[in-house]
Amino acid sequence: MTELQSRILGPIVLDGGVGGGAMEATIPFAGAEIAVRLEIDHPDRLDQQLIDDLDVVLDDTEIPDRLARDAIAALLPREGSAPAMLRSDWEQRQGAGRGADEFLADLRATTMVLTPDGGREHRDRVVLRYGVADGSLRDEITVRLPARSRGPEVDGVLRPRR
Amino acid sequence: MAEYDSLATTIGKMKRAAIDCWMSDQDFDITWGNDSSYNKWGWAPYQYHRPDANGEGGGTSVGYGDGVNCEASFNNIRARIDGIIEKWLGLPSGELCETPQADVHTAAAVLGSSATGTSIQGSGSIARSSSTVNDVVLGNMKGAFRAPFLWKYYTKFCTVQDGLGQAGVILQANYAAERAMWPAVKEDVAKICDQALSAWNTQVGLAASENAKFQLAVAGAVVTAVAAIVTAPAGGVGGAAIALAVTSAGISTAVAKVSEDAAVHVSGNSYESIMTSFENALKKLNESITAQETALNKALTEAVTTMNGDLASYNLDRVALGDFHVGDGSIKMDETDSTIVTNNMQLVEDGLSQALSAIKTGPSSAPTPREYGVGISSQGTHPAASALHELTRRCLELTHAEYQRGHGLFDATVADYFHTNAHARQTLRGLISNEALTVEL
Repeated sequence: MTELQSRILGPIVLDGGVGGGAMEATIPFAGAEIAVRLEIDHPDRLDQQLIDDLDVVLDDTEIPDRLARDAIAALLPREGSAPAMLRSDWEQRQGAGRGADEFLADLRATTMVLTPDGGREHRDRVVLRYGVADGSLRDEITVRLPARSRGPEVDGVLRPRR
Repeated sequence: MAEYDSLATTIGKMKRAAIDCWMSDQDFDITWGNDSSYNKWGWAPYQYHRPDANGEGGGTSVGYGDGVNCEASFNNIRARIDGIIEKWLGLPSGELCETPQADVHTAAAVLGSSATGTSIQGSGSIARSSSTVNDVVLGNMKGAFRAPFLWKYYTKFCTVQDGLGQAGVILQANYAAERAMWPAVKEDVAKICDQALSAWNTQVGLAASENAKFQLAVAGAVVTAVAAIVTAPAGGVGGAAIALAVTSAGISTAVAKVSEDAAVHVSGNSYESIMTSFENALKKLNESITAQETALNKALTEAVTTMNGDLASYNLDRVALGDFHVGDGSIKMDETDSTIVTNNMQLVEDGLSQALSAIKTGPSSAPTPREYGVGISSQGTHPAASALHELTRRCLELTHAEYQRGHGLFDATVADYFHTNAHARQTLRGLISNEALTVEL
């Protein structure tokens, strides 16, 4: 559909039509790999500049990873929060007495959704899902990195892995 | 809620908020955890310095070298805000209108009016004395002199009294409106700036409020000020004064009209739309002020034209006495009555003198000066008000002098009647010819 190229995602080929399109890829993420879904709300306005700017962001995935992990860690003490609930499930499997650091070390980012041209209609820019590394638990934490915000937002509910 | 006195602070905040919004429109949010810079999406490269709390500085990149820079854009935004708001700084207080308004009010109160139901609140003393003169001369005396004498020194004098009183109403309305206008304008400017600040901050996510439409304070302030002065509907006075009463009623109508369309609102969902809305709100404020001052100006110049076109109704010196016969044997009067008349004429004369010293000359320089681009001119209505103030004062001065002559004429007529001799007769003839002379305005 387009002749645009990303250094990290590869050639930009969107499904969908004028109302919006998406493509999927797998990219390096904080030392591992992650499934990425790129959603473009305005394909008619998509240009190489936007893709180049996106590449700059994807060059250093340590940053969003760290932001998301810090947000998850901050919510662990809060009973009823999604991170606290997942940790509690994890402890049931692994046995109690494991520290927060061990739980966090066991988390992996599984998927990332990018909405770089959401504008005022879609606040989200990056949405990350974190799950337990060995896949023993299906539930995942959703962390959003929205525009016009003062920090990451963690969803209050766990969602099962797709 | 912003105050006009601290507008400089608000403007600084607006500059930063506008820049924040401009950056936000392009996906650069305030850095998470750091208020002094921007990042793409709040966290991703690149990073730029944010302006300080006064809206100054910022624009250079953080660690990306000189090639990554938006200082020029930030400067343009600041310059744009300055360009829009500059002329609204340094507005007058309106206080310099208080003295001239009081001067005219005092003069008008002394002058009073012969008609009831007018805008003029008079102490009535001139009216009463003038009326007594008429009653006594008409009721108790005989003589052909009465007709021309009363025609000029009562009937036409009443007209002049009313006319000058109505001129005073227009002057007072002007000063009162200009006095009330400016504190309200300052309030409106501060509120419009506040709304712009809030709108930009809301887009950035630093505030969460919706600006409400509001009625410009200046609209109601001027309506109220004028209504306190122009209280009579046109047609409430008789004679030539009706022309000026219609003129002053025109002011009320015009400022009421401004009031019907004086709602403003700063809103928008982007840097540009909010900036345009801000500019338009101030434009609307200026349109309202200009419409009000135009109405005042129109009334002031119309009054001058009306008076100049019919001076005999505003200046007693321009009224011809008519045939004032001497020694035709038709006079019959007694000394009690002639004393009453001369005493009352003295009271009228004194009243006119009092009114004249009260009215003074009006401000020598514009009492509500402001930057070019605000209102009808940088001097407001000063030139037109000065012209009317001076014309009114001059007419009053000449009316006073002429009434004095009329008083002298009456006294000489009495002297000639009671002590008919060559000297008295000669004095009388001399006064009649002197009285006929007209002084240049």
